[in-house]
Amino acid sequence: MDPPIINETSFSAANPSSYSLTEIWPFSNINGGANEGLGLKVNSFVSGFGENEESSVTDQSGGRRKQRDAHSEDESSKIVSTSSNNDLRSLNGKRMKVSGSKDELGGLKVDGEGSSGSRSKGAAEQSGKPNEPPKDYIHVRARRGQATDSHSLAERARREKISERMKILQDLVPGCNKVIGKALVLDEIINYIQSLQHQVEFLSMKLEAVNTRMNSPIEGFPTKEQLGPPPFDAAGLLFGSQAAREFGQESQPEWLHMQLGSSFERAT
Amino acid sequence: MSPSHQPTSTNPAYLKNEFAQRFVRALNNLNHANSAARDHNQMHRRTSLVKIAAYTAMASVVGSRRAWSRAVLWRIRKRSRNRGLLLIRNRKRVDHKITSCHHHAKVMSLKRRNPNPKRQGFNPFRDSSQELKLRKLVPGSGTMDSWCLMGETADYIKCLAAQVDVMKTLVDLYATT
Repeated sequence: MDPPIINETSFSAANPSSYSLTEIWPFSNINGGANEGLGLKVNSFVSGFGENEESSVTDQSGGRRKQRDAHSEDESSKIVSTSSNNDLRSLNGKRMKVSGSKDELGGLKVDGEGSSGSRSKGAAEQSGKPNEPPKDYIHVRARRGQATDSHSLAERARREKISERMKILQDLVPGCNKVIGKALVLDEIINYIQSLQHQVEFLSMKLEAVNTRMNSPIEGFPTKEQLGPPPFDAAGLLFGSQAAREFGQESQPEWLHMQLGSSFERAT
Repeated sequence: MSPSHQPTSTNPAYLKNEFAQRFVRALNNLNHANSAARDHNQMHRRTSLVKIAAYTAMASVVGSRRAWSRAVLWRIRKRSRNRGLLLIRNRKRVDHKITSCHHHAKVMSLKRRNPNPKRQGFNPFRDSSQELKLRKLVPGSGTMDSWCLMGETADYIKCLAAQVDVMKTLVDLYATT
């Protein structure tokens, strides 16, 4: 039971930058050698994972993987090992959300090891022993060089959601589908909103002009078919009286009256 | 937060119908109210009234589900309240009231800023000037995080497009009569 105690103390130092290769080497050796010593820690991690049955660790190798991953996370996100259970659980939640093929799991794992710099040697040495990729990983698209700690994973998931929403916006703005690049799309969206607001301004100006010209347009609202020629223009009174006879047959006397009134007013 | 998860929730046909009804009613009211004094000096004022009527009609159709419609309605209510105060009280009190309103808004915005501190680190807008521009355009988006801003923007664009559509139709109809 000696090695885990060493692990605990070394991680509770909470200063991950002080790790050197010489400290890591015995750790990886311990990982490779003493299975029963690790059992305790693996069990503690398993109890942390108890919520989601898919990620419950059954075999030792998978557990070791998990633990090693957790340690690398600890190192990169500077979290003390006592809080790593919660961290891992939230990380797993994030992973559960993102679905994907499990074929690229190997790539994810390799990248994760590559990102934790000095540990990659130990990983390379260790990768001979647990050969089969553990089944409890859920794919998050991590390319080479991307971080795999929980914060980056969460951010990546959020970024995917953002791009989804961007897609919705892009569909709303006409002619925006061909535009590539987030900044250009945003420019397009901003321009579109501005143009719409200008249009509202312009249309309200027009509506104001028309609305005041004809006093009460709503009560007797004629459709286009009912009107032959445009009834009122600069011709004025004469035309107006003619229109009065013409529209007398229709059932909108009130509107007609208003129209006539406005035309009179305009003529004077 | 929950409504902004579905940026396209309202039916566009329903939106247009309701907006047209309300807007036409508002235009009617405007006409009746303004029929007394009608000269060219007030054209600008009347235009702005029509514009406000249009925005109010759309915001009232959307109701309080959206942040932008809430902001528009609140702004209009504040405006009319100030206007009422202007009629009743003297100017000084109105100014005092306005500044207190601003103070209140500022306090509220400080309180509401950044509801989820975890979100602070991530920004979908690489260029913050674009985000600022967008925040100026979308009403009520000053205090929301960028994640909500995108949903609100989507809904606002939809409603604005419907509004412009209806207004164009109305202009066409009026122009032909």
